[in-house]
Amino acid sequence: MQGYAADPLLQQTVTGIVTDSQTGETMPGVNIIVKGTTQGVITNPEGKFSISVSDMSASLVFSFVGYKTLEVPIEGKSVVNVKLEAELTGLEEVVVVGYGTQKRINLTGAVDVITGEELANRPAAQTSQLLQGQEPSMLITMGDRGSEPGAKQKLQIRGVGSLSGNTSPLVLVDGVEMDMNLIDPATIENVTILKDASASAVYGSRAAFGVVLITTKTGKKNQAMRVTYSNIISLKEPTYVLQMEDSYTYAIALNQGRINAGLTPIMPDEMVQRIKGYIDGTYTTEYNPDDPPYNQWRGRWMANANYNWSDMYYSNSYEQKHNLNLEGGTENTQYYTSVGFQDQPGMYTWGNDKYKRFNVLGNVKTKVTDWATFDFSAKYVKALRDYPNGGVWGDRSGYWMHYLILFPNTHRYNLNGTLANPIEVAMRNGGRMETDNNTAQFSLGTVLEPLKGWTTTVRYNYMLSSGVSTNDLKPVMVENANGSFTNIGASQSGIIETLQMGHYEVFTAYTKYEKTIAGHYFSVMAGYEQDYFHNRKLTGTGYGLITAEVNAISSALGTKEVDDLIYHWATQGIFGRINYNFNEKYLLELSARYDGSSRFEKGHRWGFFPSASVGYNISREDFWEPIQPYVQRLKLRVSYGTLGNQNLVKAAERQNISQAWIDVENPNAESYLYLNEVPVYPLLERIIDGVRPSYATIPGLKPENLTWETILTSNVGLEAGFLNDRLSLEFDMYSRTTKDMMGPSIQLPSVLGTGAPASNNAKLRTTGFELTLGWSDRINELGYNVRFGLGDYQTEILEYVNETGSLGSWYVGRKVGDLWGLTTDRIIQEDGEEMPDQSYYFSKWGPGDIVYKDLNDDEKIDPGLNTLDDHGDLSVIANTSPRYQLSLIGGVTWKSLDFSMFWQGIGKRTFFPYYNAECWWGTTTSYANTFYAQDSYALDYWRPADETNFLGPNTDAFLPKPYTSNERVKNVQTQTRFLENAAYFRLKNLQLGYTLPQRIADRTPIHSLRVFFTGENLLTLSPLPKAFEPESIIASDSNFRIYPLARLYSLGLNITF
Amino acid sequence: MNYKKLIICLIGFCTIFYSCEDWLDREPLDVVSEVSFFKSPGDFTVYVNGFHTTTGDWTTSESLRDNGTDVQTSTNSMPTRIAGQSTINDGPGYSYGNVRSANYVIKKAREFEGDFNSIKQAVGEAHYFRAWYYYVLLRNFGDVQWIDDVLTMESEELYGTRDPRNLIADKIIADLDTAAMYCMAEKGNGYSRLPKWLALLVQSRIALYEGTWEKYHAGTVFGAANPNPDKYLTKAAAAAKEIIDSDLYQVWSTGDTANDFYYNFNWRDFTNHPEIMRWSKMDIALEIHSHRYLYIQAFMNSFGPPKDLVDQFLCKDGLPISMSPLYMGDNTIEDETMNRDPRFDQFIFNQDDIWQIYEDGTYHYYDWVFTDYIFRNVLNSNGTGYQFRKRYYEYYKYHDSQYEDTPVPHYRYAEALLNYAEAKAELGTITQQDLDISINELRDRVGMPHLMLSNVPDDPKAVYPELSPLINEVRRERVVELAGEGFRWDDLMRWAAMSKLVGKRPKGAKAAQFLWPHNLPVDENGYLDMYQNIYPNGYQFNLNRDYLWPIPESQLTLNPNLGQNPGWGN
Repeated sequence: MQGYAADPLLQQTVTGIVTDSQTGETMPGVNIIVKGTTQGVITNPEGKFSISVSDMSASLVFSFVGYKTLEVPIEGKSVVNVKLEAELTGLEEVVVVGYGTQKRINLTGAVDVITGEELANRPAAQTSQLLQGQEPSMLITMGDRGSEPGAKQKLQIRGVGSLSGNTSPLVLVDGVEMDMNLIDPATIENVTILKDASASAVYGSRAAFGVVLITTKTGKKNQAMRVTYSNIISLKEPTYVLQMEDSYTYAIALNQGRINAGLTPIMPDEMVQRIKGYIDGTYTTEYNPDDPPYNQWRGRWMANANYNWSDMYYSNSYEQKHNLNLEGGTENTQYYTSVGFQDQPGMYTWGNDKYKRFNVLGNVKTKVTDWATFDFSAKYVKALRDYPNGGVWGDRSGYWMHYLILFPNTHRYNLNGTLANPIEVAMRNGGRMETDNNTAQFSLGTVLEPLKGWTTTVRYNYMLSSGVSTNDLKPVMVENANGSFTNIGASQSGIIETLQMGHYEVFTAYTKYEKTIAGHYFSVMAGYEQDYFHNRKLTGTGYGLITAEVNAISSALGTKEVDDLIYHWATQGIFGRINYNFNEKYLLELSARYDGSSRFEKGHRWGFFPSASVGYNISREDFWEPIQPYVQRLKLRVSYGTLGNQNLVKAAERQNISQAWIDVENPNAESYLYLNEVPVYPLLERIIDGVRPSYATIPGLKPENLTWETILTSNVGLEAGFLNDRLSLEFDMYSRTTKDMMGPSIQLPSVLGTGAPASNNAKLRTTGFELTLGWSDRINELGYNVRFGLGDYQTEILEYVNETGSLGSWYVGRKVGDLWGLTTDRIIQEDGEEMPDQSYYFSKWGPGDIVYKDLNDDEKIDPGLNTLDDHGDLSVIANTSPRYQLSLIGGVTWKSLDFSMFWQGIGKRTFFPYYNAECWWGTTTSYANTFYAQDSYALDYWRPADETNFLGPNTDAFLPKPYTSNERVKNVQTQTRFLENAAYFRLKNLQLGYTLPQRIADRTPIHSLRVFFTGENLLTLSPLPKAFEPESIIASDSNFRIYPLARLYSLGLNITF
Repeated sequence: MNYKKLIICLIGFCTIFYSCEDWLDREPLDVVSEVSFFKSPGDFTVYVNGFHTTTGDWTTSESLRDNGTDVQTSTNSMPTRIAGQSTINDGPGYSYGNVRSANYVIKKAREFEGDFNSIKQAVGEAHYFRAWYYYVLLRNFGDVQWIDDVLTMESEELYGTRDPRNLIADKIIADLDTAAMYCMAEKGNGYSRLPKWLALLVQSRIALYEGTWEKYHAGTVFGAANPNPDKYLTKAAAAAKEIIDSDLYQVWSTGDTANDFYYNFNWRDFTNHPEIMRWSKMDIALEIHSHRYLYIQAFMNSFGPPKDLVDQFLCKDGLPISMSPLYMGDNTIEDETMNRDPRFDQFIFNQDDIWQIYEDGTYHYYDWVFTDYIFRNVLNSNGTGYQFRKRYYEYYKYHDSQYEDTPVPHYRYAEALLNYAEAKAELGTITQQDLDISINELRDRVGMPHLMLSNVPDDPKAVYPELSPLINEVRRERVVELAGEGFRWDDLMRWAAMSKLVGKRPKGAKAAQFLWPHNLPVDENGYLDMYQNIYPNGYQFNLNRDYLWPIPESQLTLNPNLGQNPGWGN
């Protein structure tokens, strides 16, 4: 834009370069105007400008978002080079809040922001993995699929909000509810986390447990087109894979458990000798050819090989991700487009599990008149999953189970060279589960500003998600050593195809007016929103395929079945917010939402959720001046508000809109809790008159007057900056009470014949705090920063119907996670030691068994009536909730090099292993479920002083005497001895980068270039035995069966032209 | 730009959305509400279909119910109950869920406005299943609460007391009368809708259970208040007699006395079987297959019939082994089976029995595996040396361990005959004609001499010396015919016969005949003695406690009025 000149003859040209005072980089897009005129230009992509000036004594004003505005007198010079200084404090920073933005300094609610840079440049596939540990209030834990490609994490803000409902936060991507893992992390501008009621009140019923606002990138004004390409290539290696003891150790320990139980040893002497011979090299075949194992699992009891099976199933793989984006803008139109690809193969040695994702994003905004702006955004995601799914054990998690039960002595090959390991055969040749999910989202919006300060936003969003999954059923023949074959796959060939189509639409309109009069700032916002979700799923099955090559129902000769599932729901709400502040010193905010949901019966549908908050920027007071040099800023905030929760039952579809076809157990039951339905099912597990007829079951008891859960949150916060704002502190304390909570069903006598329905009859409270401490400084060319986060909470039951005070249920005063158990005294060493009467648990006790403490001095050990009034020798021995979420982020930059690391952990977490978890105890009640892992407790079990087997005596053992029968239950009651601390502190990410210096880049077409190395999960500190990974043993099923955590070593590149 | 235009557009836009006043009315799209169900007769059928999978006679339960009794032992362990190791939390489910489910449809039937005949069969089945559910409760807990309505959370019954067992038995019998009245009078194909005759068979079983229970537990803590055994025995006999008189069922026989008993169970389709009254059809194409463990030798091996059972089989002359000159001793299994009731030879494997027939028509005899098979691995040895053959199926091609499609017989006419004979014998009104239409029909199939009322052998080694020789013979006939079909536990319980087992260890065959080196203990007389080390004291069933399971503690806490069963505290 050339400025207007009155008399060209008097014009002179002033040129120059604008650079960043810290980095020395040139700055494109900087606004330059001649002071007192409307004449201005912006710097070109090289940071250069050229402006015609008529008065050489005037000043030039340089301004750029995020930098201090600089005024430079021309003083007759024709070249003016300036350095712009970045705003030191984040005070002017604008934060995305509900239906708008706000200056950080004026925030009164508990809000946190994570910038996109903190997430970029890490290899993890899922946004939720990247967010883990970034914010002390947000607990992100591994899901029950562990680190399987494409697996999801569980998200929670400020702990447990409801015992029965879904307490995941609302995740909005550009204002629309969406699965955060469908977003390419490279396109995230920032993530805002709204933690308390006041911050999230405008979202009403949807935001009961916090809101995560993800904003994607948009183009910048007046910036020439830029193309950025980035990639990360990673080597992925499985960690904490359980290592098996050798087969001789197995044989001895297995037999010992049997003998202790009074049973005959499971591995006969003859076989133990073969195992020993095989290990020594004197016996060469994997089983006795004269007595071959005659079915697929038989090798466990008959073969004599020595494999470390659990380790063999996993191996290294490579993953990669690429992103290409194009961005730019003029004064009126800005655009950002991005294409991403992620290829994440799994770690199975056989079976090739994989996850792939393609992302396309386009954001365009254009100002059509000076009072109207339109924007359009389109996102498209394609996610592909492919897993082996071939065994009789059902879904693929069956593999994890079967890994553990194949003893090391099992043979891998038959003597004729064919594969004998049934799991390996199933993984290699079995059926597969493939899914192809597509999500497209379109958003069309307009912002109108007919008068200065009055803006109206109207937006319509439409999301279409569709998914196809195929599950091919394949018989899998395994050759047994005796020449016979067994099918361990599906009974007959077939195909299950599932099609899902869901659509979600949101209409939002809100209007806002703001004005400042003599330091008094007012803003009023009011809006309306409605949304609707509809989902349809169609499943078809065909059996008896003509050929396994053509996987289609139309090529099936046998039975064909079809079924569907359709459901929908809608919400509607009006909301508003009033903000007031005086000189950004005294802050006030009032907000409310009136929300309705189709999930409740008429008359119970609507809820009103108001909140209020105040803030005080005390450091802006005049009297603060003397303290200013030490404490640059100090703000106090207090908020109180209510929110509603409509997600009373595991309403997983709220979280997984775009993947709703991943089965919600019974979406209708969840959407229509107030209706009595007769569940009708298609195929009886029995043949009647030649067919499998449909059948129906009795409806459950209908809850009466079901309505919202109401969440009351109060929050007190403090923000401060010390020592030139190099040290920053943020502290929040909160209390969140959920009332009218849907309690888990109360216990009623069995004679009722069904469970009691849930009702809004309970109340709980979570209290906690979050602390963030940061330090950031620069010494010459060395810049460094460190940030420490700590969060903690506890949840207590305040109201609950439990008349008998049964410990098997919730009761008033119980903290979530409280674990009742016995107190361990010791392990019996001698026959006839004095001990209390423990016959409640078993009739026989002897050396190696546990003695419990007689807490109530009645000389016998029992749980009484298992109630609060009569709990015998039980007491609360631990709380299993995760405590103290820790994070530590540190970075150093020096010249062109940068280094950063990110630690994340849980400070305290007690757990008690499931009594029959084979990985933990080694020997369990059943010989078939035995697992002796290296670096675990499994072999540290009690053996008498005169033990003759090679494991030797072990009277000072950790575990009691093992019994391979139900007798062992007596020794593994929930008790103090076996409480474990699954706390950990993990180096989640470490990064070392090199940026091409600007002066070199300037000589090339490259605008900027950075190469880096990064490592994920490089180091874990944990008090657990080395065999166990603290995150996955918590996330896994009770037997620790889960996909292992991956460690990644990556190289990455970011290049911008 | 014209503001007005824009504002009109905006308002119009908003109105389109907001005009849907009932935005929040989102009725279910694919489920049936209670209000619209049970309007058509078909709905009742659909509902009762669900009951067909609830009775637990499907896969393992029948074959395994005899475990731990004197007819079937497991090498690995005995059930905690018979081992005397049960604890208060070990009991089976004290659940009324199925009862509620049956009451629900019975209630809906009362409210049904259409033609009752159109739902008669479904209602009959509902009563049949409710009777069965209560029978399970009665066996496990004795006194339970009789509920015939769909309770609500406010119902007083939730905190009521338990009804005496004979009231429960009366209600069960009444339900089965109703079922017999409403269910079809034809035989049907045996795996589909229930016939009247099945209701009668189950009625005779349950009436016999209650009758003998009240008789033999009389005067003990387990006895019924105001016992009236004869009432139930009479009913048991009458129900069985009605089946016999119907002439719809016969003991299946081709005249091949050496094989008919074995092949009776081995049909691929029982639709036209004259004796099997109820069976389950399998079809892999429909994804219905059984894990019919008894057909799979690897599993079958861990169970074995003990010596006690083996010795029950009479000799060919109709005399017990203690009396008959035909008895050849027990040095080998071949000796033992010689000259015995042919059911013995068909019940266990002999070396000349066919073991496996392969797809190509070749086959192996049992001697192929005899010497080593059953002892090759301790997990695999049945512990007694006798290998079950009854209900086994020698066609190897059908034995896929995952996908067995061999049909499973559940109820057979033979039981009606045995129930009839026992009820009449217990009543003391049995006649020779009664024996001829019952036990002697079964003996004819295997060519055994008839049991003659005038000449009942008086076995010096009778299991129940305190009872009459006739009762002893009737009971012998029952176990010889029905062993391995899941009746033994119930029989021992109702006869209060556990005292015969306590302190004893089940023994196996003579150990010396097995060449394979094995680890199993042998007793001083040379018999296999599988429990010598694990259970040196043998069966330790607690006679003052274990005839009934405890009410779970949690239930007593919720409703102290329930009271606990004898021997379980409180």
